[in-house]
Amino acid sequence: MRELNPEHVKAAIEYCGHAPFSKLISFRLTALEKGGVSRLELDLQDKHMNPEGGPHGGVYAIMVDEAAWWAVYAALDEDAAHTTVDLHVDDLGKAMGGTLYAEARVKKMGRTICLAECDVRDACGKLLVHGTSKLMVVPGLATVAQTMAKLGLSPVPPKFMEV
Amino acid sequence: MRKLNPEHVAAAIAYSAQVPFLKLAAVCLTGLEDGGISRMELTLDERHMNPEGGPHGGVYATLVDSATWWAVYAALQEDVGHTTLDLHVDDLGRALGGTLFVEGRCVKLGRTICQAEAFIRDESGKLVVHGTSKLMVVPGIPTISQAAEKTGPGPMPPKYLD
Repeated sequence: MRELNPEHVKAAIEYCGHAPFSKLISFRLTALEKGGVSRLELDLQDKHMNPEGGPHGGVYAIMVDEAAWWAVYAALDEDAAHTTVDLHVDDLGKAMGGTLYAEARVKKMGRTICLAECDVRDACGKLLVHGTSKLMVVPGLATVAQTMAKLGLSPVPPKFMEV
Repeated sequence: MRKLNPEHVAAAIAYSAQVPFLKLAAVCLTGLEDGGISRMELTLDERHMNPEGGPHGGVYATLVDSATWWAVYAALQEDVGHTTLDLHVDDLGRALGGTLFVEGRCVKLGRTICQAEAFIRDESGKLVVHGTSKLMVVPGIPTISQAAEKTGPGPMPPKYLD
């Protein structure tokens, strides 16, 4: 099995941290793992909350959308790019604050359509949200490496190592 | 059909404008209409975008989540609160920029479970996203009138005209 190159994972985490939307919402990619796993965290702040209490539903949806995208990224060939086709979010519990932890896993890596699922938990491990997303591999779409080159970031190390 | 009180709608729009997350994402509620219709707008700027191009999927999801919530609000009786159970977003096209226009519609107002849908279009009228959401009427959770009284804007005018 090919292993993800830890240097590439580091560059991807940094790249995600530079994205305007991740800065706006304050989520951070913390890990990519082999076989299509991603981990994302978000420290809840006042800006995420509804006046009636609890985080806005958009916060959960953003985490599922983003984590699912990165889970597929972690399993995708180096020269391929993908985009989200749909997103489904089930709200299962209420977060009282603190840090939210999202873990997404690829369930099916298709040649064109991929399915990923995601759990969002609070710091106690309580399941708050389960979500799924379908993503499509699109020939010709800009890859992360191409976008990084365009943005003038240093060249990204190879994604996979043969072991 | 009960008529929404325009003064209540104006107060709801003002309430929504001070919701921290909607302010953060620059999402504006622009209208509530009789029978469970909501309208929202978002003018895309750099902070909504992916480095690879196009708005982040979370922007669409936030719009569907909010517009469906407000669509059910526009049909719900005055003294009950409701919360989102699930959310489904289908990406159907790509917005190139400008303003996104969202229409939320309550398609079923149940005693406990409600279903709403939302359409997101760009300035040319192209359908970019269709979404649905199920929402639950929950006795005892705060209504926005109660939250408005507690958090600042103050009491809201009655929701419906006689």
